[in-house]
Amino acid sequence: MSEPRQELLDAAERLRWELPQNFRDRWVEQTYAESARLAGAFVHQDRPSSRLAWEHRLDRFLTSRWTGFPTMVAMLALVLWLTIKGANVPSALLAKVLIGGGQPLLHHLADAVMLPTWLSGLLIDGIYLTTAWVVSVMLPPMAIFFPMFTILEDFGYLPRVAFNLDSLFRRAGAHGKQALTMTMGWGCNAAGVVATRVIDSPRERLIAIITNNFSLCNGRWPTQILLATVFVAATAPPRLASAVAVGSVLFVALLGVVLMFFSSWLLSRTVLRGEASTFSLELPPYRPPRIWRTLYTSLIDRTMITLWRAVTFAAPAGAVLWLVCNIPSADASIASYLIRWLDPIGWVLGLNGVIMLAYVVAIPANEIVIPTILMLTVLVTGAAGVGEHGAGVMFDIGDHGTLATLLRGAGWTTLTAVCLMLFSLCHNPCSTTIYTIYKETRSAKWTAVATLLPIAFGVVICSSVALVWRLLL
Amino acid sequence: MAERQQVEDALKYLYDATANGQPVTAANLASVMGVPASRDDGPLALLLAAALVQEDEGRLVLTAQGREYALQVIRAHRLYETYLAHRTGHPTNTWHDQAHAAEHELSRAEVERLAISLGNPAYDPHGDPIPSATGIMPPQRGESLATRGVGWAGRVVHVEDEPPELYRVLSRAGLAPDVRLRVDAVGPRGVTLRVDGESHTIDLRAAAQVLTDHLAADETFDDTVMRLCEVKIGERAEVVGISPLIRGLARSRLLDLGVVPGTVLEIDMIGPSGDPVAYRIRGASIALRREQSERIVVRRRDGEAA
Repeated sequence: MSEPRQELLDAAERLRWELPQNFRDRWVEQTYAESARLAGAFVHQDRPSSRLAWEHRLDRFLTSRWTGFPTMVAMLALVLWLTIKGANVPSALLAKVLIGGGQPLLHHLADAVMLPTWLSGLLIDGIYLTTAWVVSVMLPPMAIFFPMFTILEDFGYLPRVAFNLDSLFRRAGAHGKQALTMTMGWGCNAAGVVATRVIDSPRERLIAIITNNFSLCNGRWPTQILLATVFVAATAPPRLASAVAVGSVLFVALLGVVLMFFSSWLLSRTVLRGEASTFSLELPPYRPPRIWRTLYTSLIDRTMITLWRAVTFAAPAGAVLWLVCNIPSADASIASYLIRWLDPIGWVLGLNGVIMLAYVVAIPANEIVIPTILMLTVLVTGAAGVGEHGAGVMFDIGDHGTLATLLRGAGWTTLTAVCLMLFSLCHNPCSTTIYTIYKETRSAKWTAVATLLPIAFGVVICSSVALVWRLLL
Repeated sequence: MAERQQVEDALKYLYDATANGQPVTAANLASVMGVPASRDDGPLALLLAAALVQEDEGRLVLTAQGREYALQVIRAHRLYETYLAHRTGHPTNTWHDQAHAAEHELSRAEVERLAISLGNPAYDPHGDPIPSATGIMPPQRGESLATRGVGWAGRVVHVEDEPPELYRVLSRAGLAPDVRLRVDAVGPRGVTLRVDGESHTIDLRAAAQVLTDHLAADETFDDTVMRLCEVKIGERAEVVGISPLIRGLARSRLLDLGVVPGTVLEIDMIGPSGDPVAYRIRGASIALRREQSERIVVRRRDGEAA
């Protein structure tokens, strides 16, 4: 090495010890301070930086202890009510077109080109039917829920909600914005996971991703409502029946919130302790929501992307579902074997083999769990007169009386229904959500934690409930 | 692995003892390490065989090679603590044990990659110098806080992290490298310090764990500062600095938001439970938690209406 160069390096090595210890921090601070000074000196701002009086008044109203919380609850109730009520009509319409109209039409076409029965069964009764099912139950609620959510976000209300609830989330080691991703999860967990991008702290974002599944998604609300109406409400006197049904669904949803806080607290103190953490929450000025733009972006960004992912998972699952039910092996279908094999595991959890198998094959979407359970139940019990297209094809029953008779005939008790409600809250996320978690975290480890943690909770909760129930009743 | 750890721990012990001018015999080393004092087996045999240590009239002396090796182990330890402080959220009290495990696992190439990714830091988060890759260890600057008299003002350059109970006392008082302080009283109960607008009294044993140095020529001790969390509604305050206890990502986030020296801020609104509080910072409303606002040092701007 040449002489002057070595001298220079030696001098640098000597001088670096004379720098202040926090040289780097000071350097960065000075850079920021200098750019702030330059901006202040040369950038002219038209709008006054102080806020308008009405904005202050609105802020005080929305973030006060006495008015802020009731407003929040009212808003949430309104959004959920509009989603659940409003989605019924378009859902029924889509089901009529895609399933009532499309499926027979496709069968006619298949017959016309003389497709073998097994192939038309696989393509139409398996792949097409499952996909059509997922689209008709998923699309309408998402198309209603997400735009409403985006409008509230656009207006500036949601950041105030995060601000109000932050102290609660802070105690669980999470970020106030998790209130928003949790609520979003009530619409769809995959969308809730994507929404965690608003949390810019690595540890809190992972917590929000992993615990999002404890928000009952719109694919699980109908399961809860159905079971609460048919089984739980039946245990109460008739005049209290509907109150008991609503109460038990709300109880499960609130249990989800409690489990979300508990697992957030647990994660932040154990496996996620080492992740870097920071906090900041910007409260943007209020502005009129841009309705059309909101509709467009929420339909494209949230609804369509989520739906597309669901469809890509539903199609192959539909094929698998049809195959397990229709491939005969010795004297019965594969499904019958699997159900018999899964029965003891199901018993421990207060469930049964049919439900266990349904959860395995219905992993693409929670929406198809109930139709799958019904199909498998008919397959096993050989009940006649239910299901329009014969055994091994998915169907739904509108009439609660028939449903209760069918399920009780298959050995269901109130315990089965209660455990299924709990298991529906605490089981692995659907495959769309799992894939989304992987895409967001880019980590097989966190994806596995997010998948297995709710199952662990579910196994513990369901088996304890079943044990206590059997001992006491 | 266990063998490497024993050899490296023995080297570090010998390095420290040499630096303190304290002679070490084979029996000393064996009792500290908890191994039999044998020259045929165990860590000492390995050290002698690798020519890292020589025996000179019954005393163990590091060879040039041994000294270099010891410095590399110390370098790995201090770099790893810097990494934990700046890149992860691990609590302070777990840094030492994690770094102790890592120093025996990291290869030299890994240590160099770590140094580059951290921007070749010169000091670790406790204020200990990090030996350079070429094996240069600068002398520790500063004098013990316990020797400073009333009225002395200066800055912290080193906080010893062991034993943990004393370290906790120092952390509670907000003492970390680069914090400026003034000694207000020295009495039987200990030393009373003025730190960022607050007074803390720590006992002399804890004070002895802190090394301090004089302020730079262009610096003075400023007693008019306070913490952001003490600012009341309607008051305006100017940022003086962010405490060194806010590190890494959390620090750069605050800088990104415009919390830099000279920024003027005021309270915008207070959350329903009193925490977080939203501040108006450069025209935006930003909510900060108390754990952040108590680590931001500000100066009240009198005579200016909000």
